Amino acid sequence: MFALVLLAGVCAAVAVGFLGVFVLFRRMALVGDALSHVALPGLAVAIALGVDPIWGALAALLAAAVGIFYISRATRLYEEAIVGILFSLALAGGVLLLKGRELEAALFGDLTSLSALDVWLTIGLSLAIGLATLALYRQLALVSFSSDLARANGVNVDRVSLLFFILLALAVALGVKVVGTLLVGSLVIIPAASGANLARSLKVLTGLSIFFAVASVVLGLVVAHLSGLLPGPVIVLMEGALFLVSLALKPLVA
Amino acid sequence: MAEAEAVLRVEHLTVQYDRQPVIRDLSFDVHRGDRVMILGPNGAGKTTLFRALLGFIPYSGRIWWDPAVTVGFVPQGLDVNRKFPVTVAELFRFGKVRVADAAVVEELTLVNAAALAHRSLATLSAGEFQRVLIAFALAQKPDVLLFDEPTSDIDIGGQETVYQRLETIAAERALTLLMISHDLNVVLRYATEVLCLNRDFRCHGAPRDILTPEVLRDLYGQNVQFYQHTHSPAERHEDGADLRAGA
Repeated sequence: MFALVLLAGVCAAVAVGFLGVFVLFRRMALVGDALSHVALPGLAVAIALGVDPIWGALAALLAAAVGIFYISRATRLYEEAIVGILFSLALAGGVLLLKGRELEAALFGDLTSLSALDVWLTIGLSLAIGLATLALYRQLALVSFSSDLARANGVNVDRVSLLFFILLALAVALGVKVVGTLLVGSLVIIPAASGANLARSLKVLTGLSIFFAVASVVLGLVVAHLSGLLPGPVIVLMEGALFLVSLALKPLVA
Repeated sequence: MAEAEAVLRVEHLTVQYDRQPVIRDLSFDVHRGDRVMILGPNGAGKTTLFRALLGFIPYSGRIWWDPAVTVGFVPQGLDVNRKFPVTVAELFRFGKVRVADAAVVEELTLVNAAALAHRSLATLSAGEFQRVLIAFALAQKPDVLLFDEPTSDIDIGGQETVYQRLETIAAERALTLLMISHDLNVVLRYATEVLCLNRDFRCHGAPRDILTPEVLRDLYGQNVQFYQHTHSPAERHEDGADLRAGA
C-alpha cells in the first residue's frame, strides 16, 4: 500500500509543481492557499452524507473557482478579495461542521486513509491536470506575461483564466488529500518559488518546480513512514528545506 | 493619402469608463502605408483608443478594419509582468506565429537586438525590452502595427534608432504604423499624419501643416512646457506624456 501512496503522491506532485509555475507567474500565490480552505465545508458535507470526502472537496472547490471568476467580473473586485471573503466563510463553516479526528485529517491531510479508489483517482486527476496545463502552456504563458499581448495574439484571455482557475481548484483538491487544507498552498507555491531562485528560462523553471515538488513529497512520505509523523507537515518542511537549498545555490547561477 | 486605400475607418467612436466618456465622437481614416502619430495630454484617451481599435474594450460607433489586414501590437512596457524567468527566445514561441529558436536572432536583428536572444527578460533594460516587444510584434507579420510608446526610461539616442528602424521596416514591408508618441521631434520627423486627441479639441493632418503653436496650446493647455522625463516611478502614468501643460 505504501508504494501506491508514494505513486499517487508523486503524480500529484508533478501536476501541482507544473501548475504552480503559472500560479507564481500570475502572482496568485496566496489565492491557491486561500482557495484550499473552501474544501472544508465540502469535506464536511460529504462526510455527513457518507460519500468519499474527496468528492465533496472537488465539488466545493470547482464551485468556488467558477464563482470567484464570475464574481470578479461582475464586481470588479480583485480575485484576491473575493477569495479572501469566500475562504473565511468556508473556514468558519467547515470548522463548525467537522469535529475531532475528521477536522485534523481535513486540516493536515491523511494519506494513510487513502483507499485504492482514492489512489487511482489521484493518479487520473494528476494526469488530467498535467495534460491540460501542457495544452494551455503557450496561452497561459502569454496571459501571465501580459493580457493585452495575449489578446493581440488571438488568445481568449477570459477562457484561459477560467480554465486556469478550474485546474487550480482540481490541483488543490488533490493536495488536500496529501497535506490537508491548511498546508496545500505550500505544495503549489514553494517548489515553483524554489525553481524561480535558480532558473533563467521558463523551461528550466518548469523542470525544477516539478523536481522540487516530487523530491519533497517522496522525502516527506518516506520520513513520515519511518518515523510515524504526520506526512503532510513533513512534506511541507521538506519543501522548506529545498527552498533553503535553492537560496544557497542561487549565487552560483546568477 | 487619398490615393491609397483605407485600412481602418473610425466613425463616431465613443468609449466610456464608468459612464464618463473618455473618447467622444471620434472619426478618422488610416490608409495603407500611413505613419500616424497620436498626440495628446495625459488622460486624453490615447491608450484607450488603441484598446478599442484592438477590440479589447466595448465602444459605440463604428471601427472598420480591412478584413485582409493583420494587426500587430506593441504594448507599453509597463503593462508587462517581466520579473519572471522567461527568455527572449521563449517569448517568441508563445506568439500567434511561433518563431523557432534559429529564426529568433533574425527577427531581433531587425531592431538591432540580435544579442538578446538568449537573455532572460528580467535582465533587459527598458530600451532593450522595448526592442524585443517590437521585434515580437513584427514577427507576427502584421500589416498594421499599433505601437504604444513607453513614456520614459528610454534614452533619446536609443529611441531615435528605434524610429529609424521602424521607418525602414515600414517602407520595406508596406507596413502601416499607428503610434502613440510623446515626443514632438519624433512626430515631426517620422509621421506622415498626426492625430491630436483631447477631450474637446481635435486635429488631423500632415504634421507640418497642423502642428502650429496655436494648435499645441489648444491641445495641451495654455503654457506648454517641454519636459525631459525623470526616471522616478512616481512619474509613470498609464497614459503619460512628455508634454505637460504648465500651471
